[in-house]
Amino acid sequence: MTELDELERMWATEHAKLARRVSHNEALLRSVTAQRQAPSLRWGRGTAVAGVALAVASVVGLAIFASRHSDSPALLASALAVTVFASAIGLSTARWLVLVRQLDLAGPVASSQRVLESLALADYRSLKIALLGGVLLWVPVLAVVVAAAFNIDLFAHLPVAWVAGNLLLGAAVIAGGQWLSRRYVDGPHITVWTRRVLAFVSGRSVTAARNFVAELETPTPG
Amino acid sequence: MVWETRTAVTDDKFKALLAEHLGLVHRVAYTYCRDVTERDDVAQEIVTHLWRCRAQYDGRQASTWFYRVAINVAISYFRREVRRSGRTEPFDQHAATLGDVATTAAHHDSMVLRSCIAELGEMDRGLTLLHLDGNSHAVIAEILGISASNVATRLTRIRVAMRRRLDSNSSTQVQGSEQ
Repeated sequence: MTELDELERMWATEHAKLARRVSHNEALLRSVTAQRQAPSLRWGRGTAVAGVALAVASVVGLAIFASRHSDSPALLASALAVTVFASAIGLSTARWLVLVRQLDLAGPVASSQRVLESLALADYRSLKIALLGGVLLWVPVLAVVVAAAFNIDLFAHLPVAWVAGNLLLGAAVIAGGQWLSRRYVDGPHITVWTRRVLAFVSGRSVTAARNFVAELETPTPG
Repeated sequence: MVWETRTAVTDDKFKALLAEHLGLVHRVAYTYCRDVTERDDVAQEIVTHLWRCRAQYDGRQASTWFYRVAINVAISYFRREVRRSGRTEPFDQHAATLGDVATTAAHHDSMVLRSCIAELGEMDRGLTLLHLDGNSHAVIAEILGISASNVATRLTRIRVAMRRRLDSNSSTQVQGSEQ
């Protein structure tokens, strides 16, 4: 008997048990078909469209800001850094929207899963950009906002050493966070939410998603 | 994703099709889940998605369409759970298979089958399920979106892995009975 024949025999036995279970599921069918459920992606899509619009508005606003503060190199550099940050967030979100349009759960499994995993990768990328930007760019963002709202050059009042120290502290927080997350991601006593954050910060989630996409790209491994 | 409710078949016809394919839904859920509770959750999620996606159904090749949506939803659920909990081992050795195992032999077979499937990757699990359900290589290729030769190659590799698994299982059994 071949191994798959043997499995087929076992499968037939399980199949018979499953068939009995299915007969109890008329209630499930009724409950699902009776409701008109709100599509879960619709909310996410609305938020993403708003995010892209906000990013475009920010880039336009920053260009105007830069033209008005061309005499202050520090503010100009801050505006440039924030523009790069807003563009990266905007592009990543736009890519997410394009992928959502391509998503078809009734399509061939390999291509649907490729799109789904690319969506997860786009989410990770956006989160990474937001985290890096939040830690490294909060001083430039604050300086641009204060200058735009109150016409005050924050850099004229802040010591250069303090600004540089903040940047270095941000870089140290990122490096330390990565080290800690790699060390504790497999810890037995951490909550599901903590594990998820640690898996993201350590890069494990991104690696897993990339590996799965790579496996789908080359359907016959080895 | 298309959400409109205008369909090639009426809602009543689709409900009848859904009822007809509930066995398929449960087999897919069985293939990707560890225990009975999780399996019921996945079955519910699959049925929900099938209902939501009904506008995309063109009225032809019902089982291909149902398999595609069901496997896509099950893999997504499985990967989401792995991401959420960090678990890599999907099969719970201590969980009862269907809660109605009558004999030790049947229980053993059930465990062997589930552990064999649990050792496969997400795509290979779907492929094994489609093969055990009696689909041809061409149909499996159409559902999974890979070539028929690829299906054959993957099945050969799965056979080798299964043989190894069943051999190790029977040697464990022999050792157990000798003791």
